Amino acid sequence: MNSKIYSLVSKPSQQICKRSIQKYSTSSNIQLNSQEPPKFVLTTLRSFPSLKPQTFQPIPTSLLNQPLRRDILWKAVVFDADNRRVGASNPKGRSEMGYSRKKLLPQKGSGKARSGDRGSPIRHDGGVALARTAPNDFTSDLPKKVYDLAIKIGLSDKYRTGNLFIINDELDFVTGDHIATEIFLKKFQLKNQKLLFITNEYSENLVNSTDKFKNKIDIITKEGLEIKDLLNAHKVFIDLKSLQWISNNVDKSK
Amino acid sequence: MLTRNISRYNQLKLIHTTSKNLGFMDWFNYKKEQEQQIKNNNKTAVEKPQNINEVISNVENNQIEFKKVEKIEFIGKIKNKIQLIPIDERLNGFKIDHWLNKEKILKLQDFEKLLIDTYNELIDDEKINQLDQINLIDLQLRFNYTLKIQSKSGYLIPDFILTKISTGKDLFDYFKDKKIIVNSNEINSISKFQNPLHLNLSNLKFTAQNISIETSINSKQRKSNFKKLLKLAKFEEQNKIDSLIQQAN
Repeated sequence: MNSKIYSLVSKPSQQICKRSIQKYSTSSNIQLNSQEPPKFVLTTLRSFPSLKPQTFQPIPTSLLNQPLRRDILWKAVVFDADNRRVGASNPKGRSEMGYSRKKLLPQKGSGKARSGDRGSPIRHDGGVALARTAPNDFTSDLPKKVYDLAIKIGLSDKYRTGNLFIINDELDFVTGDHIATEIFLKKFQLKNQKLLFITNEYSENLVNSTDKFKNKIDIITKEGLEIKDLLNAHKVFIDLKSLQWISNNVDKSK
Repeated sequence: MLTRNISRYNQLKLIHTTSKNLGFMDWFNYKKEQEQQIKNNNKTAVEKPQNINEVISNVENNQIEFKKVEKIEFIGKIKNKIQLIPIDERLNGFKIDHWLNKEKILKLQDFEKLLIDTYNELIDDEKINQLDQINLIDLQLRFNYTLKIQSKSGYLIPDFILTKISTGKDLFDYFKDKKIIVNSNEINSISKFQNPLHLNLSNLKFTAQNISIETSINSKQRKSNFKKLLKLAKFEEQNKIDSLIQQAN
């Protein structure tokens, strides 16, 4: 039957017929020329500090191949910045200055400008107009799902640009001397770049060794990862255990 | 002589009058004597600390000398205690395995040859001579193949590219499109002047206000790089002019 239809119509129309048959037939729901998006991306597990590849590791695209969404990143960064504010500002108001509350001049007849009491905010030694009492709360809300998505977007961006290195072993040096970091930076030409190390546990040697370069190198444990750290870094080094932890805690869509 | 009304400044002055007065030329004479002493003994006065680049290269080549340092007793505080510890103790067995080739491949023709030869090394069945014939669908083969390519070429290949490639042509195109490796005739002209160190990204325009570019190279470095390149360009231009004049004569 199909061959009869195809012989009657022109080539472009044949394709349309083909699609419509596929669409409305009960036998198959798969459309022609359709392809399922990949569910996994490949990552290389490397040894540290040589960064030599050891094996491939497939990772779900929901974790490492999220499309770039600047709006979500922006929200997450603002959320972090709000929550980081201590809110220690504690200026005194007009009632807390300890001055008399008596009006200094009569309203009219003195020939001077109108004035209130001595604590008035318009006087040089008066109280602050919008006084606050510490601690001031500047925290804002963001759904956890949105923040988690921002972390995934940040990781995905680093992955796509080739700046994410997944370490199979423990992410630590054998020595705490700064010379180890110097050798590592020189070897991989990373001296002018900001680096982020995400570790599973506190790595004492790595922290001591990179202390001299603390303006350029950040080290954080997996629980303390914030979106700003990811965006600030040029290159991110993460151990496999930390990535698994992030995958379990952040990526619920698996 | 001292009275109760004497100023603080004068008091200090009186206390310090006992110091030894040296003449203007004494320092030079002292230095000259010191130099003469060094010459006579044929050794340096103070052993200078090793340059950090030398230490790194020695460690890379496993040429660490184990020296036993004798403890020197002297008066005063030690400023940097770490420097007194021998380098091998400080490193504690720290070592970076060298798996990437130090000499990177610069020509596309060489890279193409490397891609084909490495594949032929790994596959026993049929020898290939074209990039399209390199089949990387098998993940085990892809890993072994790309590992060899990275170690021989000296370049790290991003994981995202490793995910996408299925033939040798894809890999070749990535290096060609990104201009990581260029044609042999472009090496002299392009590679010098397309140095990413002198690129000024701030020239790029964005409509959104919240986008800014932060480069890893500061403006001072960029200026110095630009000056170097300008010098190089002028030098090459002059050379070309000279050669043209010579040809015309």
